[in-house]
Amino acid sequence: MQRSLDDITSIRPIIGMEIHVQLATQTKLLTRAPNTARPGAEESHPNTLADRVVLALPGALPVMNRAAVELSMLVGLALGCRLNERTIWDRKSYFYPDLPKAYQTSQYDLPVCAEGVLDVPVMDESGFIDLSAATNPVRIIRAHLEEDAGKLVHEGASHSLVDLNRAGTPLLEIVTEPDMHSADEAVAFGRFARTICKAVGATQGVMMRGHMRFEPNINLELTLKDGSAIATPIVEVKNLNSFRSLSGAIAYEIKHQPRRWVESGETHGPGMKSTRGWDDDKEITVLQRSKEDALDYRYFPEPDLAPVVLDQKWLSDIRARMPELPLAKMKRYVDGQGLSERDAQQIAESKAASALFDGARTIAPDSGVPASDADRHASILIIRSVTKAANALGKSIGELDLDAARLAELVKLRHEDTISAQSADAVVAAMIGNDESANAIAEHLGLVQISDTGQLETWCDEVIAEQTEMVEQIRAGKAAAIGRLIGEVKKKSGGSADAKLVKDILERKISGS
Amino acid sequence: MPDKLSVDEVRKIASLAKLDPSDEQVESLRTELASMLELSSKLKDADLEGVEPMTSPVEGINRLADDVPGETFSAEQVEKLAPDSQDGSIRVPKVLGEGGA
Repeated sequence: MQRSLDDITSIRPIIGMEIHVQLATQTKLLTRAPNTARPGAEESHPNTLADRVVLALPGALPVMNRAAVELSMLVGLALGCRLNERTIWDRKSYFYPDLPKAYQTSQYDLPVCAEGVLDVPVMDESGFIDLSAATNPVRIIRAHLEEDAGKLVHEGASHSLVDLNRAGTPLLEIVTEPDMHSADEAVAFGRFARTICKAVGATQGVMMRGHMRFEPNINLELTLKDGSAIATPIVEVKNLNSFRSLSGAIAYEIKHQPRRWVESGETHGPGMKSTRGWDDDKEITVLQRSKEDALDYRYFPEPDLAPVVLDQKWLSDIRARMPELPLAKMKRYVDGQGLSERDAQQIAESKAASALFDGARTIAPDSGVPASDADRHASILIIRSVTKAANALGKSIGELDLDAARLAELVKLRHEDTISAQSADAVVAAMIGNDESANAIAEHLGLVQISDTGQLETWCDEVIAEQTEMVEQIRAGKAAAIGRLIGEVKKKSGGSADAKLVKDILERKISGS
Repeated sequence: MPDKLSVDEVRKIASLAKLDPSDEQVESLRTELASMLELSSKLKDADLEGVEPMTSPVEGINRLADDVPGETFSAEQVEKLAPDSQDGSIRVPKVLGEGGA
């Protein structure tokens, strides 16, 4: 039968996902050598994070990391999964130099986390959530705990170099049902899962450092002219470590699978699945292996590790550690604090930013700032000034030496218009690593606004007398020109005149005289 | 005398272990592997009525370690253990194909 692209009347993508999350424990999954994905880890020299278990020396025995098991449980609960009461470990065998044991410790039929459903919000391409849009439920099949492999660098034609620092890093592999139907939906799922994993403290989620890797499974349901439908073979794209490449790889497969079907006639079925990699420069997927060369992993229960049994006491301890999740926090900020969805999401998705926000807006009213003003000023200060200060230092907000009480001082200064919105950036920057009060810092920097109305009136009179042409324009209806006059008054004050007061005085004088 | 494994079966098993036996070795492995399989097949005769699968020979449950860093080898020690090394990395013959994880 002759096939052609013209035979296809509609295309429906079917996408499932595997996400590998490197857990941010201090030590590895099966031994106490330091973990490359631990918080604050710097790049280490090759093979300096290896011990006898990592190197698989004879007689070395593994002991499971409690923190890795508990973080997996927290992620499972946050993703809406059921936790298995009894979970065991399995050996997945394959020979490769990045794995000295010649098997990976993993989980086969009794993973830590069993089935669940995650309601994924709709996001735009920058990841901003639209709270008014209906969510997309994605079923989770399982999330199992396993160990990462080492790194290989291929050196010239004859040798490869092995670095085992990453070997044994705890990896949580989250596997979904094929419930996504576009690249956008898959990226939204990935972003949402990342936000959740970060919120429960399971990972730092730094994509560039490989803390999360995405592997989508993609095929298409093609409806043909004659009314029949066929499915294309499933393609799994390995090791995507950015949302851009995740989106690009899925879009590429959606575009090219119809052509592959026209050329080969191959459809979905046993033995038809293939694995591809993503070429970031060329923006194409490249065949790695077809199912014929699939490895036979010979799973069997790991005899060196004891089963983990979860009782009610342990489960309730884990539940008690569950923080308020970012989506709930975002909704609270929108409904309760009157923040825009964007501002609410930006603050809610950072543990440090939301702790600062909730702290400062609770403390500021003690010094007479009305709650609604405290909400508004605290959110603006965090999104603008604190974020800027962190970026300038190349740090995260959590790494800044700035607590909620000190931010509340600044909220008060803004509420009283002691400093302008523009000056807040400089004051925040100066507050980092400086114990003085915000007020004292603003004074030292000469950023306290002059609100002595007598002095301001004098400057305003001078400017009105000097800028007669401009004043006439304003009287003639060109209201925007007032900005120029405010600028002139600020110049006279050396930048410290309170712009709001100046505007009021100028308007009164110009319209009244 | 047990049946022999096919040449293809022996070759497949060898490739999983990254081995490339000679034709002569394959021929003898066909019989040797088959007799091993026959030995382990005796397990099938055991009466397992009411016996729970043993998922671990280790006594007890929840043997978990606290997440506190311990000792590691130095890069020099690892280099000494490796047949060949370069700038702290272990040097191995060129690897083709993909790992499994």
